[in-house]
Amino acid sequence: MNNFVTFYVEDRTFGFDIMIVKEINPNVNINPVPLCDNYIRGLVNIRGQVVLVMDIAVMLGRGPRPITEESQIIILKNHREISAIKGLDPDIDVHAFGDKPIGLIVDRIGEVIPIKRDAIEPPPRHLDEKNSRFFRGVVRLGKNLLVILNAEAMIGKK
Amino acid sequence: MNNDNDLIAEFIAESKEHLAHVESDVLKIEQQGENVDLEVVNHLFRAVHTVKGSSSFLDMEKITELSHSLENMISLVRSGELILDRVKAEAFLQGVDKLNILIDAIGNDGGIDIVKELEDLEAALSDSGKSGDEEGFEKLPDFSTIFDLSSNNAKLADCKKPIYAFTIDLFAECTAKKVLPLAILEEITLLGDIIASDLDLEYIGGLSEVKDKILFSFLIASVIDDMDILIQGMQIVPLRAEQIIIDSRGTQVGKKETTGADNQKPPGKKRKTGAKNSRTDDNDITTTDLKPVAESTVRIAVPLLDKLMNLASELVLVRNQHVQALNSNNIEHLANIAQRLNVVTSELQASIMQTRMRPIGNVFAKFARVVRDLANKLGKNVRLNIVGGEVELDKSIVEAIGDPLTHLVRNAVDHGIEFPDKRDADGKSPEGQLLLKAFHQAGQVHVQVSDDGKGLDPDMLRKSAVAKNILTMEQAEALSDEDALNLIFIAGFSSAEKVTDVSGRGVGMDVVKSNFHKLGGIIDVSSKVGEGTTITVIFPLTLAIVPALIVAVENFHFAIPQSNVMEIVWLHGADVYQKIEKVDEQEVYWLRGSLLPIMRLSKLLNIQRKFVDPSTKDFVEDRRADESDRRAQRGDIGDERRQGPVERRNSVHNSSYIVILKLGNEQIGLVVDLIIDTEEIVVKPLHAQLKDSGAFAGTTVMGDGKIAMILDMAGIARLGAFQSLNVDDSLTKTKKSSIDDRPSVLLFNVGGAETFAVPLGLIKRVEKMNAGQIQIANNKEYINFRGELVPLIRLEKAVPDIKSNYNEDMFVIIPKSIRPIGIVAANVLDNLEVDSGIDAVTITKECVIGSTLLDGALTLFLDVFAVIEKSEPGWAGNAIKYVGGPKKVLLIEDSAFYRAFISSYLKHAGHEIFLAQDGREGSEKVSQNQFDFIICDLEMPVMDGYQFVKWIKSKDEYKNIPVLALSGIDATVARDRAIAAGFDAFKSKLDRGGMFETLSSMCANNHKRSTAGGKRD
Repeated sequence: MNNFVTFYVEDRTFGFDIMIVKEINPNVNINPVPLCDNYIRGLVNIRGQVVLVMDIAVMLGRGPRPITEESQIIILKNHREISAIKGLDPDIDVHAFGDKPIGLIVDRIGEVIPIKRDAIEPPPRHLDEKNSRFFRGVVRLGKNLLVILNAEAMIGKK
Repeated sequence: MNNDNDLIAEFIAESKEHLAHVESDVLKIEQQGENVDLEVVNHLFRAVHTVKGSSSFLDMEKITELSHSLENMISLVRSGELILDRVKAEAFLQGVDKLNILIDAIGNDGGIDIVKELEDLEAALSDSGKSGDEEGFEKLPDFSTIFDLSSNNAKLADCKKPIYAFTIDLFAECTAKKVLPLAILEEITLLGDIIASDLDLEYIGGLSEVKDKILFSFLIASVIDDMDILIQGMQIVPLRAEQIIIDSRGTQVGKKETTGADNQKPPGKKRKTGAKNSRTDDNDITTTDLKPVAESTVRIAVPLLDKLMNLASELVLVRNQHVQALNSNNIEHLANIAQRLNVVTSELQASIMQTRMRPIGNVFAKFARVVRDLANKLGKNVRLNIVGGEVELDKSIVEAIGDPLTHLVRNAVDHGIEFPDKRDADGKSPEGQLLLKAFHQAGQVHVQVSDDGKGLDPDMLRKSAVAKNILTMEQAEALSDEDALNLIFIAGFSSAEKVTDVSGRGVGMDVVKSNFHKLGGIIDVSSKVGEGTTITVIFPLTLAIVPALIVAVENFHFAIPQSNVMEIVWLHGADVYQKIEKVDEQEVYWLRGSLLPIMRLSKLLNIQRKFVDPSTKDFVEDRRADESDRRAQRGDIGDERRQGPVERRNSVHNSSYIVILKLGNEQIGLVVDLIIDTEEIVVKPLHAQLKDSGAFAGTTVMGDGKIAMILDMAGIARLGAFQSLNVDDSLTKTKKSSIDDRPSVLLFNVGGAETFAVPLGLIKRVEKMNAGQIQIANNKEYINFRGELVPLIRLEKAVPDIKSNYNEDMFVIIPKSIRPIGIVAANVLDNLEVDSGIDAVTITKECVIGSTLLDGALTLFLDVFAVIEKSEPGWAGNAIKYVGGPKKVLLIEDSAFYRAFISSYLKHAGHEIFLAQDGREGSEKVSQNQFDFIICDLEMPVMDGYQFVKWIKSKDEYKNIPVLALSGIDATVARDRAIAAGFDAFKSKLDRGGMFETLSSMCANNHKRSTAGGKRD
């Protein structure tokens, strides 16, 4: 049983293995950065640490998400922090994590849900490779589908 | 032999390391008196014991003998039989000093005598009626003296099995079982892992005298959780056995670590120093194991070294993968490897940087002895307190901080803290307190030396400064108390009433200050008479702190390193649109007569401009490229026209700034909206995802919590160059000389032998074009330029007797005129400064002002306006007729070029021209002729324009003659000054149309004025 942080982007539910999440922060005072890729929202100052904020929606081929009251930034652990985790899901590529803090902006944070590893299905094959490369797997949650995202693919450089 | 040398070197390094902490341990034990802290004693014991053991192994008799004596003393202290008082501590420390000397002189210690030290130690021991040698063999050492249980904590905690400590008699075991010691060890290791072991060499002795006891102690981690069973299993008869409880210690370590000062450290990774930090501050210093042996070497905590090793092996792995991928041509895999390499490299870099960080406690530790010795010598009673020894600073700072800090400490003890009787009389405790403190504040490290002594008296300092002729009485009195305190940092200032051998070493506080300053530290002093003095030195945490200029474009903030900033030019109101001109696609600005290439940060970084829509008050995005385009769309020679509709939409900022940057030898102007502030910024590394553009060098968090990108100057220059790739580089070269003397001209040809020159100031832009773009209508050529038909002029049609030969690719030169018009050029050659004047005599042609030799080639100066007039009559503005017939004009101008240039078009308009080279010559001409108007340059030798106009306006007979000021600089300041001096109007030298308009209006006004005057007469 691994715990997954779930969150919403455009009314779709996604999840990250909680072990790779450092914190969830409502500070969305994002300083935009000129000349960067469109999926990068900018930088945010979290207790003196400069966190790069990416937009999951843009990475999944959608338009940038508007920032609302409920918007949150999921800050992922860095390479050092991930390497220190014992019993990390072996599918997670520790080396994809960099040394600087990276966060992903989401519309809303959901619950933390325990999921058995074997309940996670691989992503359907007929998905567009461009977007599905960010999918690690799919889990049925009642009526909805929860897409477990591959954070490494998202934060790794292109 | 070599092997021996290695061993000796090892011994020296190890012994030095051990002995480095002995002093502070001894002093601590001395302070503690009866309530001695066993941990400190054990620490001390281990150090001396190790030195003794190793030296006996290496046959260093004197060292062994002396350290044996020292060890005896400590073992008595440990057993509580001896209390280390001041005399004994002195003897002990002297012994340690001698030990240090002996170690320094290994192999050459023949002349060093240890008799005195041995006698002193003996005396100290006999004083208490004990001799260390009475300690029998039966007395077994405590495990904590053999094994550093606390510092092994991480290792112990990690092994998660019960840990036991045993001492066995190896000799007895072997004899009983009739086996070799190895067999016994094998038996033991079957049941667990030996974490540490110790063979007490002392009990072995030399080969000649084999004792019947060999004490062997070891720490073992075993899955068996019952000690008795374990002992049975190992088949040993332990002399002493103990289970080591590590749970409580383990949690203690963890807990302490999370509260550590340095939150950069990865949680969960236990560093040796982290474990040490868990002790009290006092202990921290004594147990710091990072003290450098010599300045040229670095000692690194083992976990950090392990990490470096891991990273190095990972690097090798990546290299291997890389080679493999290259061999198999696996491009996809290469990207993965590159990413991995990136991670490894940055980790490696960070770790190596970490090796540079040293706890300041290393430096603080040595002051225990300094203060003690000093206080004893002076007969004072001083207690040293140390706080924050774990604060880390860059190695270079830690190494260099010692000397100036020593001076501060000596000063405090010598001058600051009073003698005990004085303190007593003042109602203070006789024991003076000296505090050495280090702490983090606002990203900086503060190091404080404070005492509770007599303090500094500002009045005394003032008097002293006056007495030493550093200040006058008035100056001294004007000083605030705070400033007066800072007098101590002035060279040649010493407040000590008597120079003692302690601090009278000729090193003043000024040297201390400059020493700290060299390290990037700032020193400050605060003091209260009777209460003490605190000297604070503030250091940057890392050297990655730079002063920067913070600028803004729209709502973006950027930091520009101050070292790149030369000056800032402020453009206000209409200047924003008027002062920046265009040559080709490049914008330029005349900065004190030199041509400065201009780049707009908004454009370089592709930042959308926002303007306030006057109807909705909303921010709207501006789709025009930049302000110059706005001007170009209107066409712009008449100044008044610019004042017309100007800018219907209001810019968010109605001013902008040009930050003049120095990039290598080049200067460029960077246009920004706002200058926010200058700030000392902490450089934070850039995320890999943001490196692509190359525009940024890092990020920084500013005081208000906003994040500013630090501009990478080289990257900015690259971005700028990228935008103007199709532009001849020479066009953007910075020109150094003043326009007044050496104007820049653009050189071009039409494919024939002739080279033409046009002053750059007359050109709005130069565009590349293709022959296919030319459209013909009404037997005239046009080019569609941004939606507007621009008529083209072929020079061969305007200038007689020249040949042309155009290629497919050609240029169109668009002069500044009311309506855009283009002169077709085959090649744009260069832009040059004209040193010489124009020869208006040798070659006289229609539409040519004159000729000159530029770079050895004959060059024809084109009369642009004549060319336009001839090709498109009326196109350049029909200002000439307004002047109202031929006039007598005096032109006072020192530059031969402008004399020729301006007089040529005045002549062309049919005026009679008189020339003068400076104001004095001009004034002579004025008295000889009756002029209708005078055109006068501002900057001239002998008598400048301002002086001339003052002179002429002071003469009743001439003051009605209108005088037009001409300047190469079209600056408001110059304009205001000229008008104030008495000029009737002010025009730019190259603005021909404007000049004619002004002349005509001046003539008209003058006419009215003179008729009005006539009526009055």
